[in-house]
Amino acid sequence: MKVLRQFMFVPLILFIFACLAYAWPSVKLHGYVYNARNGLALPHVNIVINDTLGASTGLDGHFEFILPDGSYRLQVKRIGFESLSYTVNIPEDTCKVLHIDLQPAVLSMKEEITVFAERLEQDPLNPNRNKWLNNTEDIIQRFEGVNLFKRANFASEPSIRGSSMGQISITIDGAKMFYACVDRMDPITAYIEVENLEQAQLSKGSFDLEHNQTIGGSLNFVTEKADYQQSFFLESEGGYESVSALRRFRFKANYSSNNDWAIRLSGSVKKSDAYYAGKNRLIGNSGFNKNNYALSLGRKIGSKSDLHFYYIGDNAWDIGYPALIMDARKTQSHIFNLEYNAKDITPLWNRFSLKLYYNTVKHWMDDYGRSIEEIFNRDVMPGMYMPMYGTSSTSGLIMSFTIADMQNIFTGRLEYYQLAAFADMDMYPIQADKAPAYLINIADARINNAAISLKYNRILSRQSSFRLDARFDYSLRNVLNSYGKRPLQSLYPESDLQNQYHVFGISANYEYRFNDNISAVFKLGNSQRLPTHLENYGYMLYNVQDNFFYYGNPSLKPERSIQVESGINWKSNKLRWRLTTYASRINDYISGYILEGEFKKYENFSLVYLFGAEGSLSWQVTNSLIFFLSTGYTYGQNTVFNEPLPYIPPAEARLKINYTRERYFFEGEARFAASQNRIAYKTTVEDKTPGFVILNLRSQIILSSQWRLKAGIENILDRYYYEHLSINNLPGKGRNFYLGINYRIN
Amino acid sequence: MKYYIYLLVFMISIFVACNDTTSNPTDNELPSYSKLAEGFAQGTKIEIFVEKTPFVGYNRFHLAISDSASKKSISNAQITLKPIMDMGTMIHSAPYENPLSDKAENGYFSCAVVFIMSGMWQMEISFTRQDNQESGTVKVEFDVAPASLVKKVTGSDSVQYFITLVENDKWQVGMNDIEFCLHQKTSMMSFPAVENMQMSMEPWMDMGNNSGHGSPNNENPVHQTMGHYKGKVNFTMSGEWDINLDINNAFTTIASTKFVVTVE
Ligand SMILES: [Cu+2]
Ligand SMILES: [Cu+2]
Repeated sequence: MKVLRQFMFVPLILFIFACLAYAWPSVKLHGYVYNARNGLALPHVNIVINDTLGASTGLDGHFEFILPDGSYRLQVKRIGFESLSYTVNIPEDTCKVLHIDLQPAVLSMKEEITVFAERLEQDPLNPNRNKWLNNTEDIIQRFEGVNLFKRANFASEPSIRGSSMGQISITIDGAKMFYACVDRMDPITAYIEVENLEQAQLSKGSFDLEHNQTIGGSLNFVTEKADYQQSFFLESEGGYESVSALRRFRFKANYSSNNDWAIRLSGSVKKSDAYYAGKNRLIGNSGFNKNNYALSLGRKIGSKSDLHFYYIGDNAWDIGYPALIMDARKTQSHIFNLEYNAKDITPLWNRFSLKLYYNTVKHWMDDYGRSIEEIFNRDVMPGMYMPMYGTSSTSGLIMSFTIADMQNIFTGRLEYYQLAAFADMDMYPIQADKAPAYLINIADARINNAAISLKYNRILSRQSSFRLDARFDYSLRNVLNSYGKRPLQSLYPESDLQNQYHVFGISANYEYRFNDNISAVFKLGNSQRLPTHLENYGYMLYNVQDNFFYYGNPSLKPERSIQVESGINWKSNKLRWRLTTYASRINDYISGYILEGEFKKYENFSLVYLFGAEGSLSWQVTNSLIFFLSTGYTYGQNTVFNEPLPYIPPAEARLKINYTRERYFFEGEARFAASQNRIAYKTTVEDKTPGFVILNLRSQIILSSQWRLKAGIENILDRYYYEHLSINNLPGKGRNFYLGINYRIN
Repeated sequence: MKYYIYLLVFMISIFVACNDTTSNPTDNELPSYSKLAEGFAQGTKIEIFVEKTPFVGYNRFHLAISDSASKKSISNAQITLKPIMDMGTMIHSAPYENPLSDKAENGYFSCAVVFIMSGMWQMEISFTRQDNQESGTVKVEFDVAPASLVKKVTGSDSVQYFITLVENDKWQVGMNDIEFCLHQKTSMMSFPAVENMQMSMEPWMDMGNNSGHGSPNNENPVHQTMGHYKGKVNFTMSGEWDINLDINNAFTTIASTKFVVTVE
């Protein structure tokens, strides 16, 4: 034993000598560069120091420099990869070793927002350094081109470039999950919380078909998994928001052992009273209660693969929906996920994963909390209480693999899922001599969906790269509840309500780099999106917007879209800007067709158009000051009704100034929304929305290695405003002071 | 590689397994009749079978006729009905439909009466047998239960109309066949069928306090034969529904009425 211990000193001494040997004869900086996608060493990477000294990596990805002490700016560049720059301090008598991951540039088609951003801090130009995120909407809202439908002071539903609902895809780690409320109170973003998330990935338009057939875009949330590297970590945070007296607490903890297994726990509780809109106007009935808890377990199998399980549970109750005629009494969700991952299986075969998941949502809503006057005076079904229940369960399986060499990355994915959805409604007239009534809104709809998707990236030359996405879906649909089936069948006497779809989508992306600074992207897509289960099988779904009851249509055709997008990116050390324009032509657009009275059914309409442009700019004025500007505009026209498309957000701009100095972070933000006067009045009933300017100030102070303080003021000017996508013009929050105290140990 | 083939097979098998849909066979049972009354005349026995104990509304009768001596059933006879209600100060009849044919079908002569009032009714059944040319009249009495399936309306043309909703065993959510009979009163004893009207029908769920809604895809009843009008009604939910009915001639609405049904 003693002998062994003595022997252990030998490598240690050797190591110290080696480092001294590096340090003394003045090799001051060396390191390795890897392909971030597959972890392989990356040769021929150019490393430039202070724009003068240069070196390049060898076959093992290694580089080295002989330098005097001091501070250096380092640029890391390789064709086909995103460039990086660092500032490195080399104090006296040290040798610095760097491990650098380069992201393949061809994969930059998705925008990513990292939730807890510590990992990306090396890149100060990343506009997504978010230290102020309080909830899931904060994350989504940070993407340019994403807006939110607001129905309450609670979970908002995203819209991407004017597309929403069934036109866009929202997934959690690629898994499908479906809302249970027929009034769309519960977008699935309601069932995950910030402390569970590592990243949000957005792709706009139909150019990324990995997770779904989509024509509007896809938003995928990546959950944070148990970390093998962190032996112990605990973070907790308490917060308060003045505008709604929101009290919140959240924590996450991680424990791992021997780099062998890991466990992660997280949870949060929130309680909010009714909020105040600008000018101190109380929006009654807008409070909520919510808690969320998650468990994640990981176990390594050998050095290259692992088995991972997670569960996320969510409960919310007494959620007021001031924009609607009902409130959510209770919601419940459970998400289960089991995953096997393997990497570096062979030098070419990089990744394999197999995933099984199941999630279920239950949702109860009613109008018991509303006043008798309101119930008697409302437009639709006055004089009665109408409790409603909805549930959805989705189970699925995803198998995916990646094969990659230096020039090609090929990803294949096979997936299957089944959705089972049911919803019903009771009606209890307040007038004593009237009988109650009952109806089924979704008669146990079943959607069985099998899909194969392929993604191929190729670096064509030093200047150009290419990506191809293709996806095929087969979807078989039916309703099983024979009682609920009857009324739907009365509308389609010839149909047995069963339907199947074969849908194929394809898109191509081409990127050309003119030089180190400027590159252009061109994208083409031809894709479809499947009708939702509500559009196929919904029965008497009330739409607050146009006051119509909607009937599903089992024989709807998929919406088909042809899209183009082109963009120019310009990048230098301090300045980065991007300009994108896009156009989409949608055939068989799904909208309501007036039957008679207050009834509509979903029908396909030929031809609507969407055009738009987005621009963003970030400018690092000094080491501590960053200026960021983004703007976007979408124009949508329905050629059948000859009117603007509904729910198109107005032109918008965001101006942000970030100031970072040692332990202080400040962000000033101005958000400008133009008025929206292009509104739909035939397909649905919208009204014009005036423009507004909102100012926000956020800050974070690192008090010690354990304590952090987050504080800020939102809507500093206390403007009374509402978004164009706010249902029934529900106003935004008034002036809000928030405070968060964060404690962490590791 | 083998692993993936298994996986693929596994996925496909899940897919197939989740695919099978069970179909419910619809049962086609013969209706069972119950005996309401019987009577004798001229060596002939008449048994009256009904589908339901008599009620105010459209009642179908199934008559079985046999020779009282030989007990042989008789399948050829001419039959006429005459329902009578004796109210002491006056007597009146009701709309009725004699058997369409002189020949029994499945052993029965089927006919119908629209009872327009509840209480004790008398029915005179007159027959002429074809085998022995005997004829006679059987009288039976029975009670008619109240129901709200017949509406008496005086039209804008001053004619008294009887609008009858032909009873349906079970009003279901979704599309239902619906049938009305229309008769007019020309005297106390005569209620002929009205065959030349148009009907427009609107189901409405009235939930009180000015709240309610209709339903789409209804088909207005149109005349078939003998004052019977058939259409389709769509109930979008279970509960109590009003069926509003307008009787129109070529120019104007003659009469309007409303039936209330419970949908399961
Ligand atoms: Cu709801
Ligand atoms: Cu109703």
